[in-house]
Amino acid sequence: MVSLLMEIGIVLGGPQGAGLETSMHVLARALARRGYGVIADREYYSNITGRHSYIHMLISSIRLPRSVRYPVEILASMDAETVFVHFSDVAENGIIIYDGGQASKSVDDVPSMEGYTKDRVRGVLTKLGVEPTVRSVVSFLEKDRGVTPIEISFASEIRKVVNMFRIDPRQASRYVSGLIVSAVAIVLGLEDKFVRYGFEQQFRERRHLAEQNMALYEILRDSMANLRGIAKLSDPEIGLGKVMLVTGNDMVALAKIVGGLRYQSYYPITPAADESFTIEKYEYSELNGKAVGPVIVMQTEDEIAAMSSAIGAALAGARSATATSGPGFDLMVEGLSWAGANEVPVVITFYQRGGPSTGQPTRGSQSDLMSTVFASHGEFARVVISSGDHMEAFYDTIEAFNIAEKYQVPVIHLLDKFLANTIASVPTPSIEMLRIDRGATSPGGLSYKRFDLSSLVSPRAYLGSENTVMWYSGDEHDEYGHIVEDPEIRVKMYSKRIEKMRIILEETPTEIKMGIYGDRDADYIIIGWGSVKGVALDAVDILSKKLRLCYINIRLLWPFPQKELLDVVRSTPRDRIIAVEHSYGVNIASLIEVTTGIAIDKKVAKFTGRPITLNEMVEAIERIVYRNADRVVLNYGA
Amino acid sequence: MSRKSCIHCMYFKPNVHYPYLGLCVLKNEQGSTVETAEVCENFKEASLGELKRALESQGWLYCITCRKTITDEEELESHVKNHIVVSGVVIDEAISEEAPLGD
Amino acid sequence: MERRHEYKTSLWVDWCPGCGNFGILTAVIKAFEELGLDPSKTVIVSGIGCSGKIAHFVNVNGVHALHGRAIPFAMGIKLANPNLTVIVHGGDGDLLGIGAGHFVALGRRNIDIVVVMHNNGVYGLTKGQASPTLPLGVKTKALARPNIQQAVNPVLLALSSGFTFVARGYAFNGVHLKELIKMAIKHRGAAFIDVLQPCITFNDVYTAEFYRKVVYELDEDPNWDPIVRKPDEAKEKLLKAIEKGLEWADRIPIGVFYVNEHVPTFEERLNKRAHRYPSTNPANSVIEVGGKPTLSQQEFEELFKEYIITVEK
Repeated sequence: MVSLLMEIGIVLGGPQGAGLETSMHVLARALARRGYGVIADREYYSNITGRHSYIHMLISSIRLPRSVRYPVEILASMDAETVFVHFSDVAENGIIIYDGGQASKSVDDVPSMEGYTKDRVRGVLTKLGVEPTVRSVVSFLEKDRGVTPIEISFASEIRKVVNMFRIDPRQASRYVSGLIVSAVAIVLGLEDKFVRYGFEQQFRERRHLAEQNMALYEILRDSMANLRGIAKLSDPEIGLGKVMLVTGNDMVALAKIVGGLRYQSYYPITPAADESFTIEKYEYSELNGKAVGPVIVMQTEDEIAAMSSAIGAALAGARSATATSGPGFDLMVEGLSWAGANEVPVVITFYQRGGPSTGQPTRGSQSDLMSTVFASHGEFARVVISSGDHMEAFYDTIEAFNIAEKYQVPVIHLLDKFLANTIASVPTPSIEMLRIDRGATSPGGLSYKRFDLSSLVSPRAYLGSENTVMWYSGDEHDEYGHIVEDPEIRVKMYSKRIEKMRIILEETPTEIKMGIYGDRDADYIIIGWGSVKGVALDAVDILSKKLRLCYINIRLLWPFPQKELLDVVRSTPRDRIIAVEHSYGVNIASLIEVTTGIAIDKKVAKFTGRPITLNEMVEAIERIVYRNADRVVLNYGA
Repeated sequence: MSRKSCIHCMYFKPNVHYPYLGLCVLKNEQGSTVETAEVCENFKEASLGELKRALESQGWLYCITCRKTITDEEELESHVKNHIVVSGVVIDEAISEEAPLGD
Repeated sequence: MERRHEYKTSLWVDWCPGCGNFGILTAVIKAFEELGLDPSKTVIVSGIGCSGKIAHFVNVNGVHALHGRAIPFAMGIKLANPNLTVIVHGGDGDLLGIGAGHFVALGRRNIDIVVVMHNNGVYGLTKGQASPTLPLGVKTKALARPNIQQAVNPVLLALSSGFTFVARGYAFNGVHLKELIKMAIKHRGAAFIDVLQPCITFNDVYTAEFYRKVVYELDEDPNWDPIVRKPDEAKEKLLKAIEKGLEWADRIPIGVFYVNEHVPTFEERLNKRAHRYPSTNPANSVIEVGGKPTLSQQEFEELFKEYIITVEK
């Protein structure tokens, strides 16, 4: 076993709702406390409990990780299913931790595994000449790949704790998760105090669980003494005094509160609702007598009400938003048209998941690009922005409100499940650098014209302004907001709204439009957006010794920054541009072609619902560059 | 399955995810017992009749082997032959606390 | 002193001659005058259809929203600025067909909003299709064949949804309707007025002549008392209101069916969670100082400390 690695990949697996999440939180906190960089992708089924779930982590001592990769050095399984589903993910000389009590289970003994998965696993095992039992698979890994098997009898180890304390059988999962955390922490050689920190933070309100889990840890530490530190990482040298350990949902929620959101509407939908729950947790706080909020978080009867009420709140002068996913956004589309027609500053945070229709509610995708850019009847100005990682998501959330209010347009902040659910250690954002720009406002007054035609953006008074009366109508309207059908006014008002797109493009700084990384004078240019960013940047780094690569991360999706993109790619031969996206069509390529005339033939696509991992990204680029592939479709990962 | 353990006993309610941990109704109302190597003197397997009565009064039973909820006698009769059917399970708090957004 | 014409805009009212909406418009304007409402603090939120245009004819803030969605628009406006007087105007198709979900939701929330339903039994602006309050088997002149859908009972729906003020008026009994509107505005909680509105162009069955014969006032009975004075009276009064609500065809009651101010309003419920609401609300919250957030770096880290981990060696 190679020790003193700089980075380690870990997969934790088990049934949903049975302690896996707790394991991840405890471990991530313990590692972050020690100073390591942590990223954890969470994969799960559209199911409350019982189906297979896994956490795919990358821990680093040299940087804050931004992607995950296969194979992994450690596989820690809470059940038999994890062993069957993930054994091929374990690296040479890696480690597999599993429950001895499950050793005799065969693939047929796992009712929660889908038939297709069972067939595939059986097929692979048959080809390898391995019996489809946990014991045989572990034995195969040991012999064939030099993997160190660590068999722990979960029942016996936990019994030792039971003998010491009274355990509530409804909390059995807390001990299984404690066991997994302990085993992983031990092989990582993590000091006791960090493990304690993890448990204490997790069980802040139930100290007895922290104490009992520490007792379990100590028991294991002693029985695994000779395995301690066999996968130790080098000392962390990232140099941050403190980090935030957050999901993308959390990051956006916090940013909204800082950015002045005071009304959020939502309908429960995966993977967006967690953002609203976090905002609700902080709906009203007092810091040294200073009130933060109240932020009204409104769970509506449907997404139509969510969009409609967010618009209503904005008309009254509140920074207002809603958060949803594909099916919910579809219901909001008529509202989007009303917001566009009435120049309402409203933000829709759209977390993409697998579609179409109900699709894959708990899996990620980037398949809704066209939907957000082109949805809704009629022509009107809208802005679509996207974020490539947690930090961007924080700043972009506030920028979304600024853009919405400055230009009086609906703004769609397009994210995805990968970002929403991934936990990452990130630096604390810089609050003092932020700007809150409410755009051109007006006190109103007698004969106030809400849609004054003397400027593209008419100074905005809110409903309720003193001595002010205004109108809004979905119908075409005059400067006062009254219905009008006269053809001249129609042309003026319709054009005014659309022409705002021009000034948005003129005034938005380039760094908000796109991030350009690497060698401008590159052999190949990779273009992506959203959750492609991290894995693309890592791939560019890895390949940098043999290839000069540039990665462009598009952030302003609409109005599309064609000028800036053309500037960068102008002198690059067409077949040296690669588009990457978690979708079938890699639709960013089509959007680029429609707006700039540049056709992109080289595409990397993944639409299994799982994220593109670093090894896949590197391999895909190599296939395009060295083996002349045009379209690479990736599909690794359970 | 010649050796019997608590999981076969009618007084044992296993944790639905980790059946080797559970509640022994006889020994300890609020405490818990881990499946022991040897059963105690109060060990008793539920008869089919007792299981049927439990089904009637509770509305459901659970098959540990299949991880399936049983709601009628026909199902009960087909599972009880070769599987471990218990008259009650302990619902783990992790289910509601860790459930992800699923839809 | 406010004068009558100040609540009317100068736009030509383009409803059909003889439309019941004229009666409703007059009643609304008179009610606003008599209450002395501040136009800048009053908002009419309307749906789509002939009734929706009312927002443009009254000189108060007007939000002419989406079909069926006036109520959620109104909810956003009201919750953001609870100091505004918010009145929804919608047709029966708008409020009880496409908008039924939102109608019920408002009842459940008891937000302090008034809903005035222009109930004419047809979708007028789209040429007279049967709407949710047109009874089964009725054939108006606009329909090729008799209506094959049953009518929903607006009073019953409002009562079961949780509206705490439920009334019915008649478009051409303007004085009575004006008083209902005033009561509804003053009522603390979700108020609903079902207004019988003849559609002269498309509904030749439920006409002004018909209503003149069958409409009677609940107050004709001196013992009629729809107000819940103590919480435990609610069930009994509700049952009586339901009984009256079922009357249709030969005798149609107008007046107040049910009033219950003992149910906490949504604003009161929010106040329990955030005690500064509604005096501090989304519309008047200070969210920036000199173009910067109101939270400092330190306050941010203090507020969200559960996400922050200090590295320990």
